[in-house]
Amino acid sequence: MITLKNIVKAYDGKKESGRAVDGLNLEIRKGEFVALLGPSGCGKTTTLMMLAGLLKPTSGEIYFGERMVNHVEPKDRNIGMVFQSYALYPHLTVRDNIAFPLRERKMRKPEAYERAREISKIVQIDHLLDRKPAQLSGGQQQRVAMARALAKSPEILLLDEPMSNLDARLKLDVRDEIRKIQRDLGVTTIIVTHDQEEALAISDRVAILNDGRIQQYAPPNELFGQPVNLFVASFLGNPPMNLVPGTIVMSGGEQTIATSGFQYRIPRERQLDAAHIGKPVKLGLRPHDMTLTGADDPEAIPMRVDLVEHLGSGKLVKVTDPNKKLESMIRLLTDNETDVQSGDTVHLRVRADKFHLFDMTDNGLNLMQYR
Amino acid sequence: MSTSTLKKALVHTYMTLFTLPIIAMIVWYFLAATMNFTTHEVSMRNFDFLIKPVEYDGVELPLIWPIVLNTILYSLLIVAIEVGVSVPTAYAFSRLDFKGKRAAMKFLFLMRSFPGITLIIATFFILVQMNLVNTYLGVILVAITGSLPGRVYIMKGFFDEVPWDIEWAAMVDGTTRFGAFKKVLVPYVFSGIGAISVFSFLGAYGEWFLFKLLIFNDDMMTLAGYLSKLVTKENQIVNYGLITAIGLFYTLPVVVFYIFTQKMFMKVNMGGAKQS
Repeated sequence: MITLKNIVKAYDGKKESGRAVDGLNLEIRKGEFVALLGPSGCGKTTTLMMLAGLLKPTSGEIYFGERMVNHVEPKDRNIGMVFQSYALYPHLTVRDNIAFPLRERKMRKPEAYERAREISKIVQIDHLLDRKPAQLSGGQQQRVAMARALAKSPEILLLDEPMSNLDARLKLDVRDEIRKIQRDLGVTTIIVTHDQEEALAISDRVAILNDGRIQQYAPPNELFGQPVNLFVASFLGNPPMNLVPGTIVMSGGEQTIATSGFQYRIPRERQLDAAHIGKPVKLGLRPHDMTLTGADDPEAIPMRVDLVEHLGSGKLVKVTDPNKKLESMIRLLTDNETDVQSGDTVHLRVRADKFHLFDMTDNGLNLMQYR
Repeated sequence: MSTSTLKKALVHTYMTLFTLPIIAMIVWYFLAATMNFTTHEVSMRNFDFLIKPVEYDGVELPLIWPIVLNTILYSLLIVAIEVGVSVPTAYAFSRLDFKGKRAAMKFLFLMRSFPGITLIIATFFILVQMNLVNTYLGVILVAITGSLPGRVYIMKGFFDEVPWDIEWAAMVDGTTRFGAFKKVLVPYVFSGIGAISVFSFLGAYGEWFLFKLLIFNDDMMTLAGYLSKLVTKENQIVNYGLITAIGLFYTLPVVVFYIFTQKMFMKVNMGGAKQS
């Protein structure tokens, strides 16, 4: 198990606000696949480098199991790492690249080569062993990097954006393979990525980072369905969540969200604490959590269609209120069969169990209870 | 004739025209060494210096072979010292943070741009004070002081090109920082090391001024000094045959050296890490 306790990393000459990592706590179970996900500059790579021992935390503690490893050199941590650039040694053949970490452990050459051959079979590059890295394609280089990281049977595998240099198609294959190899070997793996789809697809748990702090650390479906705050909600999802600013008011004895374009009554089972009444909020609606219904639905919100985009698997419909009071359009997804044209008036129905409310007086904390 | 062949022909003509004078010079070089231009008699007499000491117009030249040995030893020593010092220094300038780095870099640059020849009297004075005049140590110290800044500068450029990822990968793979330097970075910048080795070697091989200034014994001379001895007297009728013969002998190792090293330069291998 890996434990990060209150990790702070400040680069020299930077003030408090300039901390790359600012009080990060994380626990990773043995054999777990964890993704560190966030926008660039959120501290995810810095965190990975500290796990590798290439950077030393300014304060806080890193434990591998019971052992504090803050001052353990990278070479003594028993980690394998795949870099974004792959960082293969250009002067060595693929075989020597993979055997390099083994030779560093004073393993004898025939044994190291044998092991290199075994591991190269797993990643399907055993026919390339005599080549130099410059003679390989990007995908092959990526596999060599993977094989090199796995050769010494590391306790922890660190992946720093390992797929960002591959084309979209290859990415999907490599992603599945990495996941499969990780399962087979049972190695604790931490991947850093800015690609949310990749993170959600590949990992057991995802830690979403922003400004050097963990925003939420949970399994993918929980992150998506129950975001703890506005950042997580708006960061995840494509097309992104609609965020409509509004206020909570009492209307006819019912809690209602009043926005500039429409009013939405909060269902009884999701009522808020009375303290929130009168406060500014943002209403979060995922594009696929809304449907179009007929005019007879009393809950429906009348809207006008501004734009229809064809996505292939469905349509992305952009609507606004008839009086054009909303600051931004609301995006929703429909199937191809729904016939909507721009200029049409439609009726929007929000799934009562799927909307989110974020408290704008408290850094966008999610006000909704989900259980 | 298609345009591309015409283009090719033009380029070739152009290049040939510009290379002709150089080729003519080389041909003349060979001819002058072996042929008497007045009698048109071809002989190898000018190459007598290879087997016995030559006396020519009152200048007595010692046997050439000890001088050749001196030259080789001196040149290799300079290469070893310059590479041995400049590579780790350049690594430090490129990769490490230390106090006074910027100041040291500026000083390096100053040293590189300063014409060392203007300091020669002071240098001589200091060497006299240190009792290093007429010793190889003295010559070597003065020579590397002049050339090291440039070598460090070139090597630093090569180290700057090495992605951090490669160094980190080596450290994760089990090396110490020095191990990463030795096993991964040095091979990575190998072509750079080759380049400065060649520069160092050629610089040392052609060094005659410092020998003339700081070395008084003829038996400690190197080839460049040996050659320059032939043209020291003013108003002298120069024996071109002898000079070109010795000159040819002097050039040959450089040409051979070049033929072998240029292959290495062409084979610069920089792949393996995708720059992003």
